[in-house]
Amino acid sequence: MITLDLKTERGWLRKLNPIFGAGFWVKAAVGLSIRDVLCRQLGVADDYLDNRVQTLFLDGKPVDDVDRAIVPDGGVLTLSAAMPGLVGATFRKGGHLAPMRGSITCAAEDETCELDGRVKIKLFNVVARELSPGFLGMGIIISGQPECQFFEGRSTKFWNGCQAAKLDGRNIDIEQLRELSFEFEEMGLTVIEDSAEASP
Amino acid sequence: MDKILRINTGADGGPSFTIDGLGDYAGHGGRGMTSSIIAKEVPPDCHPLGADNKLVIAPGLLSGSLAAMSGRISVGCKSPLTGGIKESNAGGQPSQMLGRLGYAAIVLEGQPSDDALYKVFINKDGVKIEADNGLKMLGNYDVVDKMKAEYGEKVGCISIGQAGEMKLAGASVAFSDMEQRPTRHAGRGGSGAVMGSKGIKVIVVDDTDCPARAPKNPDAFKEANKAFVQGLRKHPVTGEGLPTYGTNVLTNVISEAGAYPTNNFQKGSFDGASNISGETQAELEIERGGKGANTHGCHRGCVIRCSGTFYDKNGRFLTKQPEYETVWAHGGNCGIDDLDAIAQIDRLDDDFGLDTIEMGAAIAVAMEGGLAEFGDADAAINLVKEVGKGSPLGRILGSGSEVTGKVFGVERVPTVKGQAMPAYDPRAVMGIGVTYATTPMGADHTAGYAIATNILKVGGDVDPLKPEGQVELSRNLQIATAAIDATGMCLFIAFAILDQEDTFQALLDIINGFTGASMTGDDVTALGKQILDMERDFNARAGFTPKDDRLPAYMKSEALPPHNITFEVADDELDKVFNW
Ligand code: SF4
Repeated sequence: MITLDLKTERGWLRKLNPIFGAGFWVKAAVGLSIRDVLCRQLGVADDYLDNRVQTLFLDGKPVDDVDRAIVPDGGVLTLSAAMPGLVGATFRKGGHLAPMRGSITCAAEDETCELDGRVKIKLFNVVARELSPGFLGMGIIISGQPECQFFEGRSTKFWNGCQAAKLDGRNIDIEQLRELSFEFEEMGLTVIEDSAEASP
Repeated sequence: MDKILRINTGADGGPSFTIDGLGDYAGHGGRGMTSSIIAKEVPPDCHPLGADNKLVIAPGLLSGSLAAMSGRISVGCKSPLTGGIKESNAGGQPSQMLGRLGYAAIVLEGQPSDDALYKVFINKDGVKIEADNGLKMLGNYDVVDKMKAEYGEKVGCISIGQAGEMKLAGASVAFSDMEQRPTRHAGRGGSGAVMGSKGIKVIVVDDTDCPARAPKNPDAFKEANKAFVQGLRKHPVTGEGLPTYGTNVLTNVISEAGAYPTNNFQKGSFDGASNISGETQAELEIERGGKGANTHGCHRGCVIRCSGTFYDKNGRFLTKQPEYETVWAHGGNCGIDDLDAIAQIDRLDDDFGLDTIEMGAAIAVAMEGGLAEFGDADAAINLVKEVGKGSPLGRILGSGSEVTGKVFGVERVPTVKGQAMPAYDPRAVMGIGVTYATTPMGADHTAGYAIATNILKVGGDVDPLKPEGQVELSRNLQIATAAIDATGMCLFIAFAILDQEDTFQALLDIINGFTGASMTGDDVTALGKQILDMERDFNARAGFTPKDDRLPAYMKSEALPPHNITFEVADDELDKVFNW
């Protein structure tokens, strides 16, 4: 797997919103509860999960209880803040409109714990803004050629925000990166944002 | 607001008008006003485009005051799309302006005897109606530009585009925004066609020298308004999510839930969702820059500001930030994941005066009928242009998804009472299916918005474990929504009210401080029920029966991926929604 490490100006990460929305992979022990996976392994604070993440899906099903729902290997965890609209409200964790969903609510399943698993993470809205620095700091995996090709043909503004880059551990010029064809099956990506404000 | 302007478009020698007191309609506003007048004065069996139908435009009870969020406006008529009663709601400036001028409603009645087109000008000195055939077949943008040139930069406009003039059932009524652009529409149900049938192209409103409406109890009103605004600002949805991402923040979540109707309701999730999500849209708008790009209000006095301004690749204004329903209708529902193409279609819809939901649904049905491939943005743009041209194909599409389905032999037509469903598949979210099926308006998402059922306790607490829960919730939501629609408040206040009891109390205090009344939660419930009773009675007299309160049959037999579920709420459960 090829790796790309970027150092960028502050606030640059929101340019990756389509990636956060479509989902990226992280390595984790699985067969454990959502809380175990997110808070014990991936650095999400308990308080943040309980209060800020108001809408949460496991494999496309809304979750009400993060301590009971078990994350399987290859599972997809989607994290979002509270949503507007009637339907948005019906998906809120343990909300009183939950019965509007009918039968799609996620129930607890028996899964065996596996240390070498992978979980797909999708981050939406303010949760993407707030959790993406942590995930990208640890490193994520972008899987699939079309997904990797997100980086191809990006605007000058997009690349201008990058201050330094390493491809497979070797320094690479941002200009070279711009010309690169991202025809990779899988790419490991880390991004460290500068702590200083971006220039206007 | 103590007067009603009635314009008789069928008077000898051209339209004439009277200005009356409120009479029986005192105390009504917004949807309460439009539905009261339609229910009382319009024969339910009349033709929607005939002399007996009326178009009622009514600001909310609090419009024209300094109450935050109070500038929404209701448009009512017998709908050419559904054949039933219709209330359609919009933002824009005219609501506040009409409120300040003292008008609780404008009623267009009668039927013109010739094909002249008229403009109406309203200011503090009175009302002027003039023929202006130079406006014929102009789009809303040109109409508003002409009115600005004629009446000045500060007027507000209520207008129709070509679709309204052609009396198409998908036609909207446009309301100009703070920048005097016709971007806010009473879209649903074809109210633009009724305005077209009355021969009125535009109503120009000028509130110069008209102060804000004074509250009966200024101190209590001011205090309550302050608490209300604080409540909205501190809530994560109204204070953060909506201002940052707009309503389109729903795209990712609804698609993830498998409830995002894709390719004409064939699937419940869209592979291209993240390309057109609110998050991606916000980033695009920030990158392109421009005034009001990412966070903007649809009218003065909005503190949530869920809207924005969409500039094209070259930084030129294209349209307002397309909202969730529009992005879905012209995006995922047609398999299109290109925000620029969707914004271009939104501009065309606004200019021709079309409901974006109905148009997106009609194009998706046409795609399924073989007229274009799903995902073909250019084809979609050209199909909307056909409507503006008034070609036979365009007139079919502009008449809505049901007509389009019949013409092209498509079975999968997602309508209730002839109106296209909005952006949530009822198979995945059955509670909203109950609302789609039973609201007097035809499939409508705003008819059951999230509001404080737990605070209002309308109809008692809901037991989430019982199947009747969905019917119970839908009933409570429809009641509460009808009441909010009467105030002129934007429905997005619902979230702060849902979660924060003190914000709900602040809203009641605003109403009471303004009107001098002492309304309680129970009164709000009673008002909502009263409005729904009137609307359902009108529909019953128009020939609607419980059989019309049903989803299309295919939704009970065709499973929706990815959850592979059908709509399971039984008919007799649906028939219990209005048992109170
Ligand atoms: S929240 Fe949005 S829809 Fe509501 S009044 Fe404000 S801008 Fe308009």
